[in-house]
Amino acid sequence: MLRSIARLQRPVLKACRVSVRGYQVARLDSSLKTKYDSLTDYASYRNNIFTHRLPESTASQSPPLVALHSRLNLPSSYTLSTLSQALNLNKFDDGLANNFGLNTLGKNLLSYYVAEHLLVKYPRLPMPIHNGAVDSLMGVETLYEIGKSWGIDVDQSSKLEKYLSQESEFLKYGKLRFVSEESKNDVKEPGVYELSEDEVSSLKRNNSFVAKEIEAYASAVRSIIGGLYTHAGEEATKAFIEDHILSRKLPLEQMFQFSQPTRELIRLCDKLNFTEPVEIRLIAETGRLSAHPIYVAGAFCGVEKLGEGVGSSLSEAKTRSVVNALMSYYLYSPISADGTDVKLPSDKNYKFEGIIGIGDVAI
Amino acid sequence: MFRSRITAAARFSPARALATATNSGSSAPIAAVPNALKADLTSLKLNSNGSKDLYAVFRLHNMPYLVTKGDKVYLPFKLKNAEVGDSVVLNDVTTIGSPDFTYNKEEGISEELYELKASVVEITREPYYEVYRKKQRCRRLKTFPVEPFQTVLMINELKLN
Amino acid sequence: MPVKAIAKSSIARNGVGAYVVPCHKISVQYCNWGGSSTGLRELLKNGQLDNIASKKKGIFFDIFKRTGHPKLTFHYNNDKAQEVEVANLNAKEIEQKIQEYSQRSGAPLFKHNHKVLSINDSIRGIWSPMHTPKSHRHQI
Repeated sequence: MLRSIARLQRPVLKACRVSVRGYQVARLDSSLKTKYDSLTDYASYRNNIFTHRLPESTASQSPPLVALHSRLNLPSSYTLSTLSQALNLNKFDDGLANNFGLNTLGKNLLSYYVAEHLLVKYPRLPMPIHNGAVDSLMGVETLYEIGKSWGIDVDQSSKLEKYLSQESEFLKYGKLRFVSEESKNDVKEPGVYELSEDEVSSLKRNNSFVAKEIEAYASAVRSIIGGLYTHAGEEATKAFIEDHILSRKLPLEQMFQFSQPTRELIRLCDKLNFTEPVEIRLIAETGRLSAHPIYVAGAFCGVEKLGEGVGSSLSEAKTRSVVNALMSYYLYSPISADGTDVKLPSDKNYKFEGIIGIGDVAI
Repeated sequence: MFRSRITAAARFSPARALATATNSGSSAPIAAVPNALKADLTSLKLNSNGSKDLYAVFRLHNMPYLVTKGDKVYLPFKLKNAEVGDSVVLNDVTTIGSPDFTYNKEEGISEELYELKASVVEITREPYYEVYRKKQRCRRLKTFPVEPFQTVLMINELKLN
Repeated sequence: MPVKAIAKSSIARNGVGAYVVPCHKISVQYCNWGGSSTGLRELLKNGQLDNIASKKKGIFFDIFKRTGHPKLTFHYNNDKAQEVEVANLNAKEIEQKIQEYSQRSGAPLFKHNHKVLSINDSIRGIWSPMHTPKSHRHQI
């Protein structure tokens, strides 16, 4: 073991690490063997991997695929072969087109509509909470849950098993295909889950891993959304995302973790140019000598009550009042002048009505 | 009094069109309230933060249910002519309230003022139990197996017009 | 960082927005020889099952022949499967079974002792005795 201490000059850049959210960057998949004349000439990009699309006549003979199509109430313009392609993650197994492109498309659509929803409905959310909310709505785990609730099954049986059980070959086109043909034949020990290479590598990075199955379900859900866009257009996709993803309950008020709430509130009031100082005042109490004392504290700015909190000690009540004041600011949701919901930029006749947040406070 | 309309919403099950399930012969459906008497619910609307903080009390078979959007209503019976996935328009609402205001009308609020819809999410049963009945001059208890139906509604729309 | 996010998953509300039938697959097992499958065989033969399947387009009917008593298995989207024995039942009764179990969500049966199950916060908030003026409070 190396135990010696080497004193190295710390790089200056590393000292101030700003956490930024990485957005989707198109990266070439090397296994597609893409060839191009020049890097910027996108028209010359050609994949040299042989793929073909499933014929519609074959796809329509897969009962789980047809059932999934009607369960999700997809329009008839959405072809079954695309739906089957959305469920295929295997690149090499049977030469069928996989969902790589649909996945990227669906992911971009999802992130646009989710971000739009959150930015317009909750314009004052701090950046970390906004990112958490995006993950909460379209994170891998959530999409996995959605994929499960759509009743998508995984194709896990090998060709031999299918032959022995006389299973129709069309059945697999309606199932999620991400297990490669070789690994289907691996001997599996019940109760033991072997990590794949990707999972092991993700484990090293942040001490948690996303199981291949979860990622596959999420990718299938994104691809189905991408496929809807290609067949039915933007309006239908927006409605679909609203119905399936934005209709979920978002527990925003449970997502805040304040480190120094009082200081943050004071900074916030400074930023909002409130002239009066922030004060915490005791509104009511049951009496200090009562068996279970309860205090009600309020965070005030002049005569305005910003928040109120109940606690069993003075400091608890104080902290709660400050946290409530902050939450009521951050979770503000605008409405239009006639009392209806504000319109989204992607709506028709959109006119800006909401507010623009003033940015996060620094403490 | 059973004034809910069951409609097979095109979104859920386009094939079926269900008739209005009305079994109240005596009570006429709520007639459109004249404009002069129409309540002005703007304060309720503004106070409910764009219908986000809104509750309503609707009646089904004269039984009141207080709901907000996204609530599940457990009905202790099988809703007639309803199937899973159907949309139910609940149009016998007595109270609509926001954090600070309430609009209450015992005889029913005019349908134009609000929109309250539910979807039939599940038709299931209660867990099995047994009911014992004792008859006179008979030493034995009669055992009846009971597994009554339950209908679960999910409130998917509650807003002021 | 002033405020950190606690990771929380959003909560599914099937029926708000879109409704997806929880029962996605029904396995129908029948026997070609045994007498207990008579009803199911009739259901299969006279095309009634086709009718049911064409009405329930979102459900995948998997029909297979196996020796033994006939059985229906309902697969729900919460990874639960419910087996229903349909031995010696006639076609009508089997159809009723299919109707009934395909409308369930797969969750265990339970009696909710309240009329409404809500995951939302109360609109009106919770009453507090501390917010009445001191002179109006209950004196012990």
